[in-house]
Amino acid sequence: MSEKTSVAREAAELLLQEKVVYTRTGGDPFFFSSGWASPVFIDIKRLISRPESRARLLDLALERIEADVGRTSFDQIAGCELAGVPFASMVADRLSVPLVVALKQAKGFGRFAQCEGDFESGARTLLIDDVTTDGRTKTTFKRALERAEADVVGIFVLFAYNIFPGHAETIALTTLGDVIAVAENIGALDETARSALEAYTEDAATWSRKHGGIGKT
Amino acid sequence: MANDAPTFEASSPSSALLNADLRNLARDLFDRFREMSFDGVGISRETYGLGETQAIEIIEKLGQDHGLETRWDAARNLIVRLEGRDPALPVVASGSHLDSVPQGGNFDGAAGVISSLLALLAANEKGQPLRSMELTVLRGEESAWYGGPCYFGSRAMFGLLTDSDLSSRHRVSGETLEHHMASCGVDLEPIKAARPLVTPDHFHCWIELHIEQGPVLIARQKPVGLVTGIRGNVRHRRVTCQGEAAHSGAVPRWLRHDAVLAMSELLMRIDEHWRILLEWGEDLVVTSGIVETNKDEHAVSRVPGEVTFALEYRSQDTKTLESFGNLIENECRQIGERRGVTFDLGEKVYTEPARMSENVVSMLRKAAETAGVPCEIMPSGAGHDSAIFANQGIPSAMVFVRNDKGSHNPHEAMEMEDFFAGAEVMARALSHAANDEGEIEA
Ligand SMILES: [Zn+2]
Repeated sequence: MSEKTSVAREAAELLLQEKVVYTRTGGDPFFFSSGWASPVFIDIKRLISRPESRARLLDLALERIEADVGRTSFDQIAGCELAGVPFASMVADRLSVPLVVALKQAKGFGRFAQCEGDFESGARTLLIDDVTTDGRTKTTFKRALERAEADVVGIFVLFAYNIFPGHAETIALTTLGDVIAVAENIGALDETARSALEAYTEDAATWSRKHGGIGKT
Repeated sequence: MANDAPTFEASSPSSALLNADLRNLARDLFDRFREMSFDGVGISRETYGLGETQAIEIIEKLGQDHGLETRWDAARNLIVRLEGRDPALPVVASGSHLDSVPQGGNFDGAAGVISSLLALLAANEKGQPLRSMELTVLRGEESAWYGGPCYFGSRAMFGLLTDSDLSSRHRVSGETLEHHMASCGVDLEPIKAARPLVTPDHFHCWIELHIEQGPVLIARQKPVGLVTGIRGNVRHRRVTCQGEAAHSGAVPRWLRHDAVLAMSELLMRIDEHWRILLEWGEDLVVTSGIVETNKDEHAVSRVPGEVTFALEYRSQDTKTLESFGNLIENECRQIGERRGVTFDLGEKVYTEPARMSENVVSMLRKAAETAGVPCEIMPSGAGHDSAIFANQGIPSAMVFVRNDKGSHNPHEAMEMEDFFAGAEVMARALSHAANDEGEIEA
């Protein structure tokens, strides 16, 4: 197992232990705001209320950022409104680097209409969010930062479903694939849930369409 | 005095420019205007109508009786002139309009005309001024009779009337503005050719006194306001949001293209931008005064496929109007993409904001100080002819008089003491300007 995989698996195990992985195999599926139907929903932002696992998650995230982005290749951290903000704040604080917040929607006009904070034009920025589904919202935040003349050098999320088409290029600490693999090892999911998740990861578009969601971005 | 406003120390009659005779003349004039134009509820003097002409003729007659020159320009605006010692110098001008909305009040417009006349008469009594002074009674200021942008008299003066103005129709008679102008004896030839009837360099400065149409002076307990700028506006009379009609029970949320929800989101986004912009100190007001789903299609159990609404925003600042317009277009695009609807903003009608001249305002401020009249520096939310003058590069300003019940209604409540306070300030400023050789910068 590579270094990267072991970090990802450790994070996945944390999510399972903390019971923020929800599955639904009967009845109505989950619906993401983008319209995708899903048998699984990861509510990672609950972890902000649990200091020990929050700290552990942060250790893993920093390890991954160091390995995949490199501390010297960015000047500041940007958090995505709203759930990305606490995680981005903690990362920025640990690294002692500046922090800004990218907003969902612009307020007024001007360079910082869609950002809170302050930075020089051209500041190399690592964008951080909790979760990504199809990456569309990340595009909004990236644009918001670029509008403020930031140079977005990477997007880092704690969890990515990694199964939808049109996925923007992001670095994920852990993915649905990792969660399934760990669940299998530690027997965290029952058979129905596990096979539903497998079917979902194989062809999310079809699964979503069959369960009443959208089938493409 | 309105409310519990503290009375102010009006200058003693001996030092006041407006003496008892002039004050009586003003009271008489307001009474005559009220009598001749009372319609049973309020005052009605139609734009380019008979009542307006008759009211202007009263001013003409009074001017002549007091030895002032009078003439009508091609647009049938009346000019009353007190010739200066050097008639070649640019003139010190003031005035307002005499038309009213249907069932309007007696002070909107008339207060400006009467106070200007008083200023000329007061200056005349003091001996011939250096510069000529002119009162211009402007025609057709109110938009109520023809809809759309108005200020017909002042715009005609500067060659700004368009074909679409001339062909706009009277809301009762159904005839065009051109027809009614012709009935009032307007010479349409230069107006249709968009030829200015006067050039901006004819004017040294322009001041208009008007009743305040908002609540600021009442709230601040000041009899008089000095206006720093007149808001311009952008109007979209009919914005269309096109989504997709659907059954309200059968179609899930993510498959809907609900036009009303999209419009609501747009309006709430606009409201949020507005809030933020006010925090930044921008001048802005936004209104969506008409919202309609299609009567032939709408139903309780139908996801609305289409909605139309009006959008109007006003600001003193051209840049703010422009940026806000871009912002709205942006929001339309984003919400449209997200919700699978399209916004068509439709026709956009723009009325330019106007900055008043700091120099004329400070002249008025000094006049108010010497007259002992407390005044408030404020913007004008409503539009006025003075915006047309200011945008011609003429150094302009406005004097507002406290008024309790808003305007465009029969309950306008201007106290005569407040009127005289405002008129005194304007008369002093005009008289000062008329005896000053120096030029004023706009
Ligand atoms: Zn008026």
